[in-house]
Amino acid sequence: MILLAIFSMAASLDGGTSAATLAANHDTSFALANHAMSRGAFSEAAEGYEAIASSGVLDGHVFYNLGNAYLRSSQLGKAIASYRAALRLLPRDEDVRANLAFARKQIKDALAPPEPSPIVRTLFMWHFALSAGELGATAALASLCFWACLALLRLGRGGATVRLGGVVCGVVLVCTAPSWAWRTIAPERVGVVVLPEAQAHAAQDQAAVVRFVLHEGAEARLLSVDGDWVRIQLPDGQQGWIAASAIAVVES
Amino acid sequence: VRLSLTTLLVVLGSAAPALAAGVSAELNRDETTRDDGVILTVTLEGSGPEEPLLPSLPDFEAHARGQSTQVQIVNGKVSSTVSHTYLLAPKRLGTFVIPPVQARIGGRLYQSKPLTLRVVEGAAPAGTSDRAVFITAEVSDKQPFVGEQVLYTFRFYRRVQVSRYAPRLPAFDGFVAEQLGETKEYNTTNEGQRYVVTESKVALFPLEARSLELAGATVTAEVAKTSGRDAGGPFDDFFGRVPTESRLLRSEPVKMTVRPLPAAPDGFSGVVGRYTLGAELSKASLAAGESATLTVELRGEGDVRQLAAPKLTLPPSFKVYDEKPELRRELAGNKLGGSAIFRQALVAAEAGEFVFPPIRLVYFDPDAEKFATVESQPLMLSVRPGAGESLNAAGAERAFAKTEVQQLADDILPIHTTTQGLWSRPARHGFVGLTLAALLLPPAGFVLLAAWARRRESRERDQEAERRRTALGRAKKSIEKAEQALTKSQLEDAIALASRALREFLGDKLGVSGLALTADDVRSRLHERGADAGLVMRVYEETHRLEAAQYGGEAGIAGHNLTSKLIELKGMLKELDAQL
Repeated sequence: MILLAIFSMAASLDGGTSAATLAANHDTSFALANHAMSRGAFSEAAEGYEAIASSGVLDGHVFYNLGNAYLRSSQLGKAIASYRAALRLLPRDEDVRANLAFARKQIKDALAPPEPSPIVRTLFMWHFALSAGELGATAALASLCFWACLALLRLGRGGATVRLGGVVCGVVLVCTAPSWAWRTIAPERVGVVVLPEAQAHAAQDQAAVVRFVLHEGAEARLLSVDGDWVRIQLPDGQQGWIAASAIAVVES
Repeated sequence: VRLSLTTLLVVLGSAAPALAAGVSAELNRDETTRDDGVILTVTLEGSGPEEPLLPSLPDFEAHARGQSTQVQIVNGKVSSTVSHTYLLAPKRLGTFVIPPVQARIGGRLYQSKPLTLRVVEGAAPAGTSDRAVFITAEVSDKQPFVGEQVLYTFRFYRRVQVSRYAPRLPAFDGFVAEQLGETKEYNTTNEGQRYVVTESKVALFPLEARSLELAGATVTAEVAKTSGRDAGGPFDDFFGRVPTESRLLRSEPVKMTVRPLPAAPDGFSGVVGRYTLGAELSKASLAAGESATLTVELRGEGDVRQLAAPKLTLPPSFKVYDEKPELRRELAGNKLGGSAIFRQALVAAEAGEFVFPPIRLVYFDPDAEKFATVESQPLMLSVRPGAGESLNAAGAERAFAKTEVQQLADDILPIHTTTQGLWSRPARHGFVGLTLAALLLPPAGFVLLAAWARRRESRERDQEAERRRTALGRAKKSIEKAEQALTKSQLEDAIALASRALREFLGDKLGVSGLALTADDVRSRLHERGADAGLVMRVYEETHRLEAAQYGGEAGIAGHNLTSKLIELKGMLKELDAQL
């Protein structure tokens, strides 16, 4: 209920009637794009989903469908970037994971995607199993409960139940609040190659030495963006500059 | 360009005039032979010289041989003379004009004058024993067949000190070329002279039938002078320095005729060389559904990369799965060869006794100049019925054999038709703000609450302290009122006032409500607070006595007796005040 209230309050910040109108427009666009997918008009569907996404909508299902539309249109790189964006918003969605795995099978480069190790995923499972919104809501709720328990104890009105509740809420708060802050303030960024081939140069110059070549769909950790160039790093530590037009940047 | 020598000559305060900027070029001779190179020296004078730009020299091969620098500081002005040296190797006979050499000096473009060089036919080569350095290049067969292995051997002979040795082999166009092993160095005797020989070998496989000429190999090197006026003076020997000259050595071109292969028989594999073939099955017997591995090994001399898996004719009930071939290249003497191992997994679907025809390889043997065939022995495989089939044979009820589920195709999962509510980015920002507020405001509220609670507790503590501090004064006033009541013969009022004074005093001192205290409460609490035992007993008795007088009407306290009791009570309370 509290989460619902927070979500409702957050949604209301958008502004009453205009938000409702926008949502209705998005619903219509979403339905039209879905219809285009069912007709096999994949490029048209991709444009529809892209329009919703570019209007500022952050909905995992839109990005998932966009990934499907791109994959059907043989745009492997954009499909993988869209699935990654969907996974960030729907971290436990099996469909997204399955389609991302399917798309990755078609990549030409034998390159492992930049993912944390299984040990890290297990130790910090909440970080990978919850979306940023879920982490924020959990942290907010835990914070309210933890400090309420502490206040009751301070006023001498808390028993063993309040003390136990305080400890549980404190642990949840310590786990989720830094995780939410990390995901919100400094998310890790990944570059996905969206052109058939992308050359990684030694410097931000087309004439610079080509250190290696990546092919469409290859994913690499993005270190920095400098104008029309992005600096990427492969799992083996190799780095190079790739033209920004050849890369789709996705927050991980 | 390597910097071979840099000389810094500093002339301070010299009266010598400063050098004018400019570029000059000169050849060490005007006429040369095709086998000898000429030295082109380009000299740049002036401050801030840049690398000279050699003109296009299509009739020569140019090899940079280094540069030397001289710097002069004359009256504080720095100028330098940089000399770049190139070795020019003529490609043909004739008279040639070497166009001007250009260079920027101090940002300005200068150019040298053009030079003329005549290249004439050289004298017949002297016997190798007359030469201090020379090179040879030869092939093992000048009329090979297409695909036949030819050995190209390059040797560099020298009997004087040589440095900066740089060989250049021909391009081997029309061949697949493969370096054979490492470059070797050894000593040998040639026409009575001892030489150090550097030798490298290349295996060549001609790609097409034609006549061709392999260009000569070249070597550029700094060769020690052994005669003439520059052949090392006593000071050179003293400093361990040997005068050298840049030399270009060139071997004779090699003419070859690559012959085509004769008309090929059926089944010719396309490989040239000499090969053996071996084949074996990992099992002689297996059950239907199981697999056996067929291994075919081809070994011999030639380019094993050209070998393909021999064809095997199998009954249709067999399924064949190819594995990745294993290629090994080996050097046997002066021949490149190796082996190729092909493995195939054979899965039998039906039972039976099978004899596979021999596996055959047809190749061209260049030594025998004819096609040859190698083949394996026939291979035999016995396939027993599988588990399901044997049950059938026994007439038993057919069992449902479990088979692995194989994925026939793969595709993506369908689109989603519901949304998360199509949150917009501003709404997300609002949510972030609310989350931040929920994280930061509660601790701030808790701090305020804690401060308020502390202040309230402090105030309460202050009130109790004040109550304790003023307890004796209030008790004395009550006792004085009791004395006044006694003077008016109001005995009951006097007793009530005295009892009240005692209880309120004790209540103030103990931080409780005094009127609710009984004598027993008083005794136990005073004990807890560590009051003197005698004094506690006296207070207890007095409390008890006043209770009895107030509520029981005890006549034990008469008027005159009460007066002294009140005086005693004052003293006792004073004593108690000091202890609590």
